Amino acid sequence: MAFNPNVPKKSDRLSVSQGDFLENFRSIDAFLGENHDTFGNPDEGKHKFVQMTNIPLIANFPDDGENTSVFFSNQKSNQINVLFKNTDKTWLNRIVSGFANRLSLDDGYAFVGNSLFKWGVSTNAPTGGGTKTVDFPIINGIPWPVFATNPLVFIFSTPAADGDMQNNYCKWTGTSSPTGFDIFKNNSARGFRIPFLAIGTFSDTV
Amino acid sequence: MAYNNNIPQATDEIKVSSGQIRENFSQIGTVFSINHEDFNTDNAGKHKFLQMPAQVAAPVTSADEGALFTKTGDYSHTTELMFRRENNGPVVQITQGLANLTTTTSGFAYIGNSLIKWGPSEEDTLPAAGPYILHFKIDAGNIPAFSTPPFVLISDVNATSTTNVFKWTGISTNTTFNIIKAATIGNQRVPFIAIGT
Repeated sequence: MAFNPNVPKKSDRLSVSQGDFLENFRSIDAFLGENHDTFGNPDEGKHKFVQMTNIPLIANFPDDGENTSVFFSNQKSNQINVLFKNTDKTWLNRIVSGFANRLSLDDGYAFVGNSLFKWGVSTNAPTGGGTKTVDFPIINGIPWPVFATNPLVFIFSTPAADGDMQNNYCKWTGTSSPTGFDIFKNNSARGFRIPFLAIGTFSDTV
Repeated sequence: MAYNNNIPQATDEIKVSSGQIRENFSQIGTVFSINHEDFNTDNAGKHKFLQMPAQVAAPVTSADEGALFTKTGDYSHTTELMFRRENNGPVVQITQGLANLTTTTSGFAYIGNSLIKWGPSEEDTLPAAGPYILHFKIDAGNIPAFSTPPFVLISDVNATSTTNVFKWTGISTNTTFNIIKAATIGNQRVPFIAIGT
């Protein structure tokens, strides 16, 4: 049996259509009971929680007006995101995002507001003094969002193994790209990976 | 036709009310299928997604009840996702669009109940060593102001030297932060992250 909106027939007697009625009322009760407080409950009609099946593409959304935004989940490349699209579809906020399988505790990212925060240590460990270009980490096999624009970068010097902090001091030069940033480093033979926090924008491809 | 919650009447014969009842079932099927997995599917009743028309005001919440809703943001001027705490409590803005920001290098967001702002300082000329009072990005109407002096993290950026050190002095106001600069070279804006309320 299933919900059937095409009952009763005009010629039906109640003895014939009663079963159809019962099935439709049962289906309605069961439908409303998913995710909602159902009939007869003091909070009937309100949501207990929201389970959302996967939406693969934004293009699949019905667009029924400028005053309605969309809250949805999307599974992509081994991760599940919860996202919010505003009414005029000009931007996207990621409420929940992240790694399903992190390989490194040093590196991470999060979507904050409409921006992308990334942190970690640079892939390369430049030696010697002067201007050096280093790369944001790339983790094979893990979705790792790329900045759409040149990000703002904060870097932190790490103490040298021999305790010589001055010789291992470095600064961000003010230059960055979607894949890395430049530093000015004191003359030092010791190379070390550069801890960073970078804030930029993200070009959505969902 | 439309949903009619006043049928059937006690005196109706089924040949009269059957069409009305079918219409009601049809309306229920149509309305429930909006945003939800449809009747007669494995996930019937669960959500595909939530479309939420923007509300003019935050919904009423009882004790032990929270409300997720959308409303136009004060600074993005477009729809934002918001959460109201129990018992008509405070509203926490969850999303933040930057539709009207005038630069992509400055930004802000709400994290929990706090406001985080970032970007380069408004001032770009720091000609000498010494103390400076620098301003957070000023974009009235598009970037909110702090209501209390924030915590500040700065980056002592420099392209050619590691001796041109900037430090936050520990002093901030709702619109400014104080720094000490150690050398006379390297005019530039000072990158900051500020966290406050």
